[in-house]
Amino acid sequence: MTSPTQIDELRNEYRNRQVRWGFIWALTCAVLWGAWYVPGSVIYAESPFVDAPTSGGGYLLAAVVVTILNAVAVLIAMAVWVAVLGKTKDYGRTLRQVKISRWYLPAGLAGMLAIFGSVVAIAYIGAGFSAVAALLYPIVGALAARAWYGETITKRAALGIVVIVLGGVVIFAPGILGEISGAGGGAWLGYLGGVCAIVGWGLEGAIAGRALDVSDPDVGLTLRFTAEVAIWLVIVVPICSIAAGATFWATIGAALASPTVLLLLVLLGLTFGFCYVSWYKSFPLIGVGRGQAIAALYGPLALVWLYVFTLEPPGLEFVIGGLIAVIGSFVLFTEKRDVLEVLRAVPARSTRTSTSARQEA
Amino acid sequence: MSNKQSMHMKGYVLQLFADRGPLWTDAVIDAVEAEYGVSGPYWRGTVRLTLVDLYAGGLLSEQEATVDPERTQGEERVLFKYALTDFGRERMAQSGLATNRGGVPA
Repeated sequence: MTSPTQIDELRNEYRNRQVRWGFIWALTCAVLWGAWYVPGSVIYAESPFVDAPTSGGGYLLAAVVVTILNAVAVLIAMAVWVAVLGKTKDYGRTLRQVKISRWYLPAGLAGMLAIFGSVVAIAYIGAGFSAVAALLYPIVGALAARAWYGETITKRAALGIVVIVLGGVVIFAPGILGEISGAGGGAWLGYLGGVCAIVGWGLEGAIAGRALDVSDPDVGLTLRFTAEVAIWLVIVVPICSIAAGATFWATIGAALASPTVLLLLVLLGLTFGFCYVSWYKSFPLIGVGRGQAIAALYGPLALVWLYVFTLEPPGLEFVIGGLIAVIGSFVLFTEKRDVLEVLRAVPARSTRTSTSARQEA
Repeated sequence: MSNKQSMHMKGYVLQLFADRGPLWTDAVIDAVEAEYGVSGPYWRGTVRLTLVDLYAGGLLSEQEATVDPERTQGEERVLFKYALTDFGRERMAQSGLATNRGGVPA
């Protein structure tokens, strides 16, 4: 027979594990998001993207093609993932629940704008600016989730989010000043891209957090990428086809004919796909604000990954900024567990009333 | 009548609570296994995770906890009794789960 005290201990252990897994998923997202920058940067050094003209919208076209192929690669990776989990039928069932699945359309649109904005910011201003701009997205996500559906953001959580963002800014600040002063005539496109990344990823998280209330994270993410690919194919591809004509299709053809680009697309699909899976899985467990803030550790982690592959050591600002970001994540992780167990500020109809032991084993 | 052809698993779990009232973890697992023709540790874990998601999101509230190895395949595992919250009913209404019924058996 298990005593009420033992049941309480087991119950608390279970709930602690629930919260711990939320943080593990968010951290996994950060690791994979950081890793995505390796194939995400290398692909621009490969033909046909390396040959894109720097003027006349050549960069923009390259960014569009990379983002489309990235979305398709992630969708393929997710379709395999959902099949392995035995959830393919659940994907179809959720898709048919239109009042639920329709929310993944704006989530996909917001995410698509964020990814594209990020890629444009890299092309027109620089990777440092793009990374810092994106790091600000948890602030938008946390505020939107709180205003829209009352997600609990304590003062401590707000402090943790701000400290993590500050750490990211410290890491990239010296590089940004050089990038901004050296930005060319198309710089406004880069700034616009940065704003798209902040608002897009923040809003995507808030919208997804709402849809995930009533749908499975693995299935929900696959629906979100289905929506993104559909928007690209139905709206953007025809526009590009008219605007850029043969150049657009030649770029796609050359990319798909290159074995190196195909390998990079596989790596993009795996890193970005599973980073997104982890992101979506963390939201129901620790909330959109916390999940996004921990995932923002991708900034320092991207530099670690790039160092592993290029052996170019990051500067002192990386060490200082990285430490600040890690302190911020500890501020979040050490928050009181009872605050984290139930994430919404909703009046409960009934609360936990008793712990019972089975008297007859 | 079964609604397995139209309802996704998380939606079905919410409808179970709406129709039957507070339920223990093992009762939800039994219902899901019967509805979708699945079984084994993987699917039991999937249902438990779904319940954790719904609890953390405030759609379900925890009413009781117990340990009974006879109901958890001999393992010493916590079983929870959950109930649908008002917020859970509100989200079901907003997402069409309250009206789009496939006839969850009472």
